[in-house]
Amino acid sequence: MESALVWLIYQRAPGVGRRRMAELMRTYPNPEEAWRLGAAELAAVRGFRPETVQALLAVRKSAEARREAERELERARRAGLRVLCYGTQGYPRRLAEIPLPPPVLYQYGPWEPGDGDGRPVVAVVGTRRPTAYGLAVAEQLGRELAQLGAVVVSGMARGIDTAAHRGALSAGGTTVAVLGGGADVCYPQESAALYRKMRESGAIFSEQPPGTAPRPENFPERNRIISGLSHGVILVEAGERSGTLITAAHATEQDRDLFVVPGPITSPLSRGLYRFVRDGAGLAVNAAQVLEDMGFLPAAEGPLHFTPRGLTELEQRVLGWMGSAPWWPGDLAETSGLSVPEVQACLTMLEIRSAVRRLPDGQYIRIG
Amino acid sequence: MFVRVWSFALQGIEALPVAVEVDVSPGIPSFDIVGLPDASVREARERVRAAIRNGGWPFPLQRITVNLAPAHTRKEGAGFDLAIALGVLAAAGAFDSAALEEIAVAGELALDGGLRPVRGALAMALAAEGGRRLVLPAESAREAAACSAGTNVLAAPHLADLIAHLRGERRLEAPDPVRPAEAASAADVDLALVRGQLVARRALEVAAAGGHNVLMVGPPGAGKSLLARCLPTIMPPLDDAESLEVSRIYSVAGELAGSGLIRRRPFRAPHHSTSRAALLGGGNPLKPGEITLAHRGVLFLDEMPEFRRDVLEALRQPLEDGVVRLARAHSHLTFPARPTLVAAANPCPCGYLGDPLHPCTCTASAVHLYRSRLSGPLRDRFDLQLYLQPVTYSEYQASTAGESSAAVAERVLQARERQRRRLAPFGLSSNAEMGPALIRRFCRIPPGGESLMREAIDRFGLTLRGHDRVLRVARTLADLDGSDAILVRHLAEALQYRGVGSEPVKRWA
Repeated sequence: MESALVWLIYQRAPGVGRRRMAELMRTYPNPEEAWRLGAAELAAVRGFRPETVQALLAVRKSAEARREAERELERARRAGLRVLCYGTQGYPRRLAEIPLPPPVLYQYGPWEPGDGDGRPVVAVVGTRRPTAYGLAVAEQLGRELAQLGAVVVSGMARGIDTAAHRGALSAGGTTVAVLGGGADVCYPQESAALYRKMRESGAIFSEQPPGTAPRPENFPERNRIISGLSHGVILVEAGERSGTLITAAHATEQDRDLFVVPGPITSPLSRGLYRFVRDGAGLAVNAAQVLEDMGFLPAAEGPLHFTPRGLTELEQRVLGWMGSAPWWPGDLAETSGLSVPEVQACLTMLEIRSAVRRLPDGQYIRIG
Repeated sequence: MFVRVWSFALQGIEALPVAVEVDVSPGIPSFDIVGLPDASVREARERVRAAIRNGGWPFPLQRITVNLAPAHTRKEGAGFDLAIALGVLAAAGAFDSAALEEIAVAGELALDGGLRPVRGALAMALAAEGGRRLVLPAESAREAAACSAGTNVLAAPHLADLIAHLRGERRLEAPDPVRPAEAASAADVDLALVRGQLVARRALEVAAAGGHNVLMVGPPGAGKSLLARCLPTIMPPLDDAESLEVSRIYSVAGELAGSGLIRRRPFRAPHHSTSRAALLGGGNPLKPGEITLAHRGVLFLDEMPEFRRDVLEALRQPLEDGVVRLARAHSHLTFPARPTLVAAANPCPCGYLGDPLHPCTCTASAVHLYRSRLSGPLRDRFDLQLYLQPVTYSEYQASTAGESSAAVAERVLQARERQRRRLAPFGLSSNAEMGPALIRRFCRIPPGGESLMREAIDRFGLTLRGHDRVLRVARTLADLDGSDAILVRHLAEALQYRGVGSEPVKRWA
């Protein structure tokens, strides 16, 4: 009897949802053992009523449930998916500890989530409709986290999620996505290249059967896996009703470290984050500080920004004017008293040297 | 009895002499027009008959045949009315037909014999220069009199006035002088009105100096229209030849409306629902499109991605060649079309992508689709591409007024002068017109610039065309700087205008 089959058949019993599955798995974590339980042993599980026990016993004998479960596993095998089963070797330890762990998790990619390899795992999540600032910060955090050896988790949604994944990839790091549809279904479509890269170098996870179309009602549940896989969660921009807040709630419930990227108080996309700050979430200023606050790195020394070598005096002055906020070249000229041609020429040279970058709306932001 | 009267047919912005031959001979009364007249010309029969009767002359009850020669070109419009009426009257003996050899005429007849204006009076005056005297309806005559050939023009308010003139009873007058107020009216916009937007001001100056097309991407309210309107105010004034050329176009389009020569650079801003025919020219009767009306001036396409794709694609050929080629059923026509193109676009369909306060409500695929409407080949026609920053009211209040158009125009003029000296032997007037050969010749990359350009190709994904665009702009920057050689700083600044493309959307999704 295949271990995964046990959970897949049990969860097909009427009246058995995520909560009862979680109670069952927590009480009898070994699937082999769970398959052989008698009525009395099942009745001892917290919250199980007599009809729950009857349903579980019945589904065990149901040929249809078995056929469906086998078909799901067969499909996973054909798609080349790895099957992670609760209570067996390879299932992520941190994920097993959350209140409602997925009984079975499908995975693409080489990353070994099992007992962890001692690397910090950090989720970076946020709105699907961010500002240019949010995008830049998410990408920067993803890159910095990867540079410092952390694994970056997110949901491959448009906006912040995608930027975080890309940032980590740009530094050659490990980044993994948890999808709301089947792990073999790339959504959104335009992220196909990103999806492929993560499949090759990181991981793609989903608790949904292979081939499941992405449905909005599955996304909130998916978020508990994002925080469940991680040591800590960084929130970058969320409106008052953003799905990101669900991830944050899961993180709190799962006792994960929560960090918030400060944004302008005037931005509606900062509003969803206030209450987490009030409740004691940490401030995410850069990756080193986040990891340090989570207890992973020794305190960082030195300046927050690095200055590339070989800049002219004028270029250094322009760079000096730019803090961490994005700048319009025109404002930079007005503030610094330099002429527009001077500022423009400097920005090109700084861009070539990777000291600044142009954002998609034409503003410039200092990198580093 | 056979009579010949000289008139004109419009072909593009040229007026071709047309001989209107009228034969009145005995037979069953009829009135036919041949020589490829279209419906509007054939309707002349009714207007001519009524105008002659109402003028008090008898209309010959004979067989009347009108031929418009040369017979192979198509004739359009009501401008032949006057010539046909004169021919019929002369053939009927109302005056001596020898007098007709001295003049050429054009005009639309009212049923009472009054004369209505025609399109293209200026072109006709130029075509008649040094030959026959040109008789036109009063308003058209005033238009024609604006050019040097205008001394040859007579104004006829009514058919009866012209008949009296031909009979030698009463001389026709030269047209009224042009209302000077029209010609000299000042521009209603000025760069001094633009607050902030330092980068855009600089880009406009460069555009005016080098004749470069400009693409501006920025949120609603950033002042895209005002900036575009300011561009003609800093371009060098039209010289006499250009002024005549532009005026002739407006005359043919029927938009000169009796005013004098156009001295200000035209500014045309067609709406994004504009049809291909309205933008490029076409229709029946054939009229020049917006791109021709903007010749030597500025064609402003606001919300460029909202224009129909086929309309935008159709712009590519004229922008390349400087002329619009229109294929008609019987002929090919060209209109001049050398405007500076200024296009504006929002960063995304809702306009708020990147705005610090408004979240953008567009999906990534919607933004991608929006930007992809500016196809690569068309985008390559814009040497200067820039982002505009949003202007908040407090910033607007705080920032000081910038330089006036006149001050900027002074620098532009000097830069143009440098270009003229360099490019005149090649028949060009601005850096924007330089092709690959001239770019290699006049845009030498300075020492230290090679590595910069190589890095730019690697990092910014600069294409070969993009590379040439940067060099053209750098040449203009050097001209503005009074420098014979392009310096590294000119290349570096030019690279800032390299492109506002689809690549950020792909990168950021």
